[in-house]
Amino acid sequence: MTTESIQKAKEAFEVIFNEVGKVVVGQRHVVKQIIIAILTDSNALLEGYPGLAKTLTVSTLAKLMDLKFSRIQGTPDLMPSDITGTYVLEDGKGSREFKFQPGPVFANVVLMDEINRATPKTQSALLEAMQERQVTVGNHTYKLEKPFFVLATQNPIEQEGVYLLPEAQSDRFLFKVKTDYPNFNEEVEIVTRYTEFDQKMPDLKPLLKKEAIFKLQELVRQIPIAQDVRKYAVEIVKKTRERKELIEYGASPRASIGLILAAKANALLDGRNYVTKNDVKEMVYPILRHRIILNFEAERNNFDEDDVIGYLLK
Amino acid sequence: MDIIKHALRQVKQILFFVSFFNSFINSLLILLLFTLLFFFFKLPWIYALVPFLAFLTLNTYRGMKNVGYYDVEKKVPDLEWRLRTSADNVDRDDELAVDLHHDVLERLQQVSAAKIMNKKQAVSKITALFGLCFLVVFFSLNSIHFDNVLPALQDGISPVTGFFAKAANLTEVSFFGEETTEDLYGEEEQIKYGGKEELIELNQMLGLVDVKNYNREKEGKTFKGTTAGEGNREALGSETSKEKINDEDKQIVSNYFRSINEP
Repeated sequence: MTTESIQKAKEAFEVIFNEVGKVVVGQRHVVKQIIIAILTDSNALLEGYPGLAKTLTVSTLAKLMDLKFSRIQGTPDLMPSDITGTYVLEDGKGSREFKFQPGPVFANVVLMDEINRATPKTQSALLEAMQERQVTVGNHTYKLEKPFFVLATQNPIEQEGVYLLPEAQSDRFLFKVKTDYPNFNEEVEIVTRYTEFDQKMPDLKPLLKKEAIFKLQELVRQIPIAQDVRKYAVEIVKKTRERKELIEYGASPRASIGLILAAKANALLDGRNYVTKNDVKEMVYPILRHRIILNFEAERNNFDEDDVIGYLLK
Repeated sequence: MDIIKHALRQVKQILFFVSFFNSFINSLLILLLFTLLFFFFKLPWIYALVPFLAFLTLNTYRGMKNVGYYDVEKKVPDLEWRLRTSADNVDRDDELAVDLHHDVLERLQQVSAAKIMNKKQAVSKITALFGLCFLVVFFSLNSIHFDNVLPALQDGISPVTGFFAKAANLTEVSFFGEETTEDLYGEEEQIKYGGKEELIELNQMLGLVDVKNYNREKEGKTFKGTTAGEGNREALGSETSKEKINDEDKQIVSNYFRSINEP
């Protein structure tokens, strides 16, 4: 692993961004954050209004990285076995036996759409898979294939009849990625691409193999970081616990770990073999916004999590 | 990697040197300032060494404590974040860290004490040092103290003899060995006027004399000198105006002194 490897990685990811750009217009920051989640061997929560290409982005990335992709739609009647898999009775040679039928969680990239619509029991089945990288069905434990990423989506509207992810569970997601509406030019581009009669989906070929992803994950952890930057990251997370004037509950040390790893991955995507404070500042919003609980004072002043994080950074 | 450790040690040495140099210059400024103040207030100037040593010690200690690679990175932007990352990972010998060390070593060639030092600040401090030195010398040569500054300012600067001419001893030893004031001024009025002022100070009764109505011919002047070691001296006005020089020479001398007394 040398600096040349880092430069090559940067070039490879530039190509990936361009290829994704052929399918998804804009949303570069979303793509970047999903890639960082993959490079840090973590999971991400995507929040955005319907129709913002969340599913399309994830499926395109999975295709480009040659990863097995599966999608689970969260509904109130979704059962844990619908996610993990179950035993089914099969007719064998002269006998019947139970055979394990793996669920959609047995993939490399799992997209859980509208996780907040699934019941807490179903949510916890997925979360166990996220944490342990294994699934227990009956008396057997089945390991999940590496690399394994869960990208869960949430709809910020339609908050009735949903089961909000408890904070202890949302803490397991490295990022909360916010998707936003495209700007005017981007929307014109989208309309042009998807309303013409000769519309053709680009033929995407895999650009990264699994082995390359493992090496990149290793490379991320090897990137040297200065003690100053480490302390800066921990200081920010510590502030979330100390600033009681706006924050009821702050972030845990898991946030500090995530912030350092994400900053390293950001440095790698930038082609650098060192981490700067700007890397930390760039990653702090998606790392912290789902890990802090605002108090009444913040709500009264119409502050959201991003406003409070911006206040902490000053 | 030993070479990077050695290089980082050298960088630290340069930083310590620059920090000590800045402390020393600041301490010299303090020394001169206090010397000037103590001299002005007629205190022994040697006491100025106390704040000098205290400031030097404290400032050096604080400077050495706060010295860091950030000071180098500010001056050499190429090294920004690289230098301290390399320093914090100096014991790592994996390929990525070694690459970073090599990167830093290449860029460290640009680093020198001259590059790290704030030249503008150093020049202005040294200029201030020279300025203060000049003031110290000026004050001491002219014996400027707090008790004679105001009178001198009121009297104004004499173009002939310097700042404190009026407050200084008026008697001078002439080239021929006689004590006389006429060689200094060459003006009869100034000799008489000076004598009159001193007379007023000595004798309270004569303080009632209106100097404006002074009549040089009528007044018989008795001047009693009070300079130490010289005893009383009598000088009669008529005696002091006696001159043995011919009129032509007198005129030349008189014209000369008149011209240099003109503002």
